[in-house]
Amino acid sequence: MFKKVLVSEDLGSISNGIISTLEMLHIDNFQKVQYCDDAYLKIKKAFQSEQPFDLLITDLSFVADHRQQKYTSGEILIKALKQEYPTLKIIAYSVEDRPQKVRNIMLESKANAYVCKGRNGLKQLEEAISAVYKGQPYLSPQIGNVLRKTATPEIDDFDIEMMKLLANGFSQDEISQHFKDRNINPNSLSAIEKRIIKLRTNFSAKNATQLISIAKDLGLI
Amino acid sequence: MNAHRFSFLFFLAASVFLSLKGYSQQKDSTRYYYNKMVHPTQSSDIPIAIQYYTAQSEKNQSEHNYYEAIKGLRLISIGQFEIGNIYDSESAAVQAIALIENSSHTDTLIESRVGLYNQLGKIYRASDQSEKAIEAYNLALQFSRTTIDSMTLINNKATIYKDSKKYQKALEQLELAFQKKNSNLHPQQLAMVLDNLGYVQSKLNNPNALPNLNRALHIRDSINDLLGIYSSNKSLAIYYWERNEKQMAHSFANKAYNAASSLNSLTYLKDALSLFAIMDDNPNIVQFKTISDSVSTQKQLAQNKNALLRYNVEKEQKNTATAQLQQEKERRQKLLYMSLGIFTTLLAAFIIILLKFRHKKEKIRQVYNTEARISKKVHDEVANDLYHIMVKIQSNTPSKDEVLDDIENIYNKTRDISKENSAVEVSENFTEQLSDLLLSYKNEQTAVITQNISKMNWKVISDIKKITIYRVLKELMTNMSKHSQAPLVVVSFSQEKNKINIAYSDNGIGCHIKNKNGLQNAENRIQTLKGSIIFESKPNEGFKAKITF
Repeated sequence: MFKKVLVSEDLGSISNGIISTLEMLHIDNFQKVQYCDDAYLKIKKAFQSEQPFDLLITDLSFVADHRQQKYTSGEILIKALKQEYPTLKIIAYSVEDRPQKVRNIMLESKANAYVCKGRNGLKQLEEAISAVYKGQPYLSPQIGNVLRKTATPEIDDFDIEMMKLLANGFSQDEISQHFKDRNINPNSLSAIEKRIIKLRTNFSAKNATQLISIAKDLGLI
Repeated sequence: MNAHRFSFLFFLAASVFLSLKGYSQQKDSTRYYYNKMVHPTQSSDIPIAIQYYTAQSEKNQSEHNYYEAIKGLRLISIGQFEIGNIYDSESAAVQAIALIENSSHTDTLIESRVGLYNQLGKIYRASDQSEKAIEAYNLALQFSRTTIDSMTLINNKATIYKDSKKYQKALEQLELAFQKKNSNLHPQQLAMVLDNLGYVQSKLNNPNALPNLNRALHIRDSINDLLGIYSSNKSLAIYYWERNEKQMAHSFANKAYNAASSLNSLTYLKDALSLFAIMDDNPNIVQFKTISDSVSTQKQLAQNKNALLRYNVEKEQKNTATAQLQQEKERRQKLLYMSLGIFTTLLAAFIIILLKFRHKKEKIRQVYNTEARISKKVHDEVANDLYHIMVKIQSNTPSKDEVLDDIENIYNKTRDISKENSAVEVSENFTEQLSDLLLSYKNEQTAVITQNISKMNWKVISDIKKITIYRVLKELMTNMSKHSQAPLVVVSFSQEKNKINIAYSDNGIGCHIKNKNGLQNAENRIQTLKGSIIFESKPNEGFKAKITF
């Protein structure tokens, strides 16, 4: 398990929650900071004295106060640290669950895990620490699919045209022929078949007839 | 009715009569002043006539009635000459000639032109400018078409030479005039030419002098030309006096005196009597005559000079006044433009300030609205729920999990409110951002499908529009997840350059669109950017929205 952990969190009650989780995992060597700048300095100092931290658990949003900060947010801190100390593992622990933000933290700033604060936040944090320790990335379940591309099924003009032809009573063979005549790709029978099956899945339609009925209701055709 | 008609007819007749009377009155006054000018009986006649004609000619000029204006100016020139205002006379004549030159029908004004040049000749003769006088007569001759005019003009020209004692030149001119003679037609002119010819010849000791002088007298006698008879007798008296034939000279001088007496003119009487002074035996009287002549000549010259000076001063004053008037006019115009400019600037500034003020007010209003909305949400969703939990805990003892569930619910609601109103950062990849947004509403019950979202070119769309699109779609989706129970949502995008169409469509339970309070906000957002949003829904027929920017 991790030997030395730094917790960067400006709200005492939350950092206490984190610490209780760490204690549950029998991690005794931890330190707490309330400012990003402090976190950066501590990590730097530890590396220089060859007693580096293994893990940083950081919030993303810090309330601005009288102290002028170089690193104003967890996002900037993670990015800077990951560039300087790529071996340091970092878990972002935040209320923020907007996919764009999560994606930025994971892909741009290169955090190792992202845990959303919430009812089950601490449980997820525990899972995240274990996963990161094993070298695996971790995302809270509610944001589990943000890194996967083609998340929303997209249809295009070709699909619309195809459904229009179906609605006009064309068979799949005829549709294929229709596109061939007009030099529109794809036009092979198998490709048409696949597209229709995909559409049926997207629209949760049992058959082509229901697909057309739904598309009509939605005003697509 | 009858009475009315009668009165109308009466009115008509009366007005015709009055206008005729007015017309004839004007005609009459012209004739009246013409007579005053040409045949004055009192010393005030000519100045009055000049005043009248000056006004008339100015009026005619402003009305472009140049024919009448020229006629008036010519009469003014004659009148001014008669009362000794030589330079005013010249000015009027020159002005008239200029009008003729500029006139389109120069041909019909030849007679006026000849007359005006003749008048100018007379003016220059009187002011001792013989060369200019000759020039004027030459110009008049150019336009003269009748023998009688030509004869008179040549004769006048000769008189100038005679005055300056250039007798040879005068003789040439008079012989030329004599050749033009048509004795039967113009005896008066012929006699005039012959008289002058005889006088000049006598000065040159030409033997034809006496016959010519006699012939002139004979013609004048035959037509009873009293003025002519006086001149002829005077010429003959001088002729004989110069040849020392005193008896003959005295006899003609007496005849001249008689003619002058019958002319009833003091000028001529004085002239006739001066003949006796010349012929007097007493040298003192002769000397008196010579001296008084030269004194009056000197006086005349001084007067002319003075008149010229006065005229120039008047002209200068007039020019100055005109310049001042022009200056005043320009100053006023400048002032007008300036005040117009200032007015426009002020107006523009006022409008700008007004618009700014209204814009500011609108902004403040929107801020207030947003604040009110958030406050209402906090009250409705958070405060109410918290109160419920408080009541629940007070009335019975729920399990820890139950309380936690309730609190988590509230926690999520507060986060939703926060997210809803947090700033939207438009990222580089707006398609992904939108896609994420739509995806966040996908769950086991609801599938979200996009159409052509990856084909959008967001770079040409302004950030404010992107933010609005984001917020409006979010509101639509939130509305959907709350109320529609729709299994399927399709959001279609299309774009023509920087014009965007977004169509939202679900197959949920739909609703009656009466008070779209939940969507009023979306509508406001779109309208602020001059876009449009159309909602369409019926129970059990889903919900549709069309956004156009």
